[in-house]
Amino acid sequence: MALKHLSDTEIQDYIDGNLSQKQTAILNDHLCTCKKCQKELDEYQVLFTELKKEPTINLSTHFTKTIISKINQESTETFNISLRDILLSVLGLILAIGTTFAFVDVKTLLKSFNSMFKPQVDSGITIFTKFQQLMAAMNIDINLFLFAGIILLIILLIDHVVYRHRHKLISFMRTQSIFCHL
Amino acid sequence: MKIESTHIKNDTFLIKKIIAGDTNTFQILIDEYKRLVSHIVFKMINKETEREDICQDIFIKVYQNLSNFKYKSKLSTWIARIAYNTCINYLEKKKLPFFNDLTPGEESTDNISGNNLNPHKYTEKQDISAHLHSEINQMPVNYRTILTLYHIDEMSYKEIGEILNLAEGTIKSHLFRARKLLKERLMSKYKQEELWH
Repeated sequence: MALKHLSDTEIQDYIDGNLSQKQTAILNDHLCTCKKCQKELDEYQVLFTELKKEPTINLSTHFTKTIISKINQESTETFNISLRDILLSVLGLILAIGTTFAFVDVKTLLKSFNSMFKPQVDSGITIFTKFQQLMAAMNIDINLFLFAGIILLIILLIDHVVYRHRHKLISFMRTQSIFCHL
Repeated sequence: MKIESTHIKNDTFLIKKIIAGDTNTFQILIDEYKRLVSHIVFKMINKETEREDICQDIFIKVYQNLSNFKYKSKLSTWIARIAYNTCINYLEKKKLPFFNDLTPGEESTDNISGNNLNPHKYTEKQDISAHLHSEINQMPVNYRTILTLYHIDEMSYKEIGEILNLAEGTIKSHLFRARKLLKERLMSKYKQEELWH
C-alpha cells in the first residue's frame, strides 16, 4: 500500500476486519500520521455505529399464533379434501360401472377383448383397427369418444389454471381425474 | 466450530420434529427467526399494512417446504432466502418499482435530499439515525437488504450472496458503494446543519 492516502475501500476493509495483520499494521502506521485519513475513518465509524442500530419492528402479539392457526387450518382442509375426493371418486366409479352395464353389451365386449388379443400373424390388423373394432363392439361411436376425450382435456386444463392456485376450493376435476385413472 | 456444530445439531433436531408435524416446535423456530425475517420484509416492503401478512406467509412457506431443506446451507440462510424471494415476488406481482443498482446520478452527493430542504426545518436538533434510515430507504432494494443483513443480522458476504443469489464479490462491492454514498450524504447533512445553527 504505497498510496499517499488510503482508499475508501481500504478504510472500509480495515473497519470490517478484512485485512491481514501486516496490512492492518501498515494502515495503523499511516493513520497515526495522516489526519485526512483518520477523519475519513472516524466518519465511517460513526456510520457503522448507526448502521448497527436495530430498527424498531413491532409485530403483533398474536403473530406466532396466527401462523400456527393458518397451518392447522390448511392441514384440516387437506384432510377434508382427501375424504371428499375419496367419496366423490367412489360415487364416480359406481356411476361409471352402472353406465357401462346400462349402455354396453358386456358379453360382446368381453368376446371382443378375447379376439383382440388373439395372435393374428397373417392378418396385419393394426392397433387402431382393433381399437375401432372394440368401439364398434361396445356400440360407441368413436367420434363421440374422441369428443368426450377432448372435452375432458379442456376441463382438466381449466382446472389446472383456475382452481389449483386457490387451494381452498375443491377441484371438481380432481375427482374426475381420479375417476379417469381408475 | 464447536458452537456451529451444536447449532446445526439443534436445527436438525428442530427440523425433524417440525416435519413430523410438531407445531409447538415450529413456534420455537418462528420465535428464533422472526427477527431476521422481519428485518428483510420491513426493509423491502414499504406498505406497512402488508408487512406482517408477508412475514406470516413466509413462515407458512418455511413450514410447508422444510422437508426440502437439504442442509447445504445454514437454516437461517435458507429462511432468509425464502423471505427475500417472497418479497421480490410480491413487488413484481404488485408491479411496484424496484431497481437493483445505483444509477450514476445517485452516487453524487449533489442530489441529496438535504440540499433542497427548508433551512427552518433544521432549527431543532435532527436525529441522525432518522436521516440515515431515510437515506437507506431511498436506495435500491438490494442495497437496503445487503446493509441490513450485514450490519444488523451480522451475516457474511457468502451468506448474503446465497440469499440474494449474487457473487460474494458483488455483495462486497454493493455494500462498499452503499456505505460510501451514505457516509457522504450523512456528513454533508451534518455540515448543512452546522451552517443553519
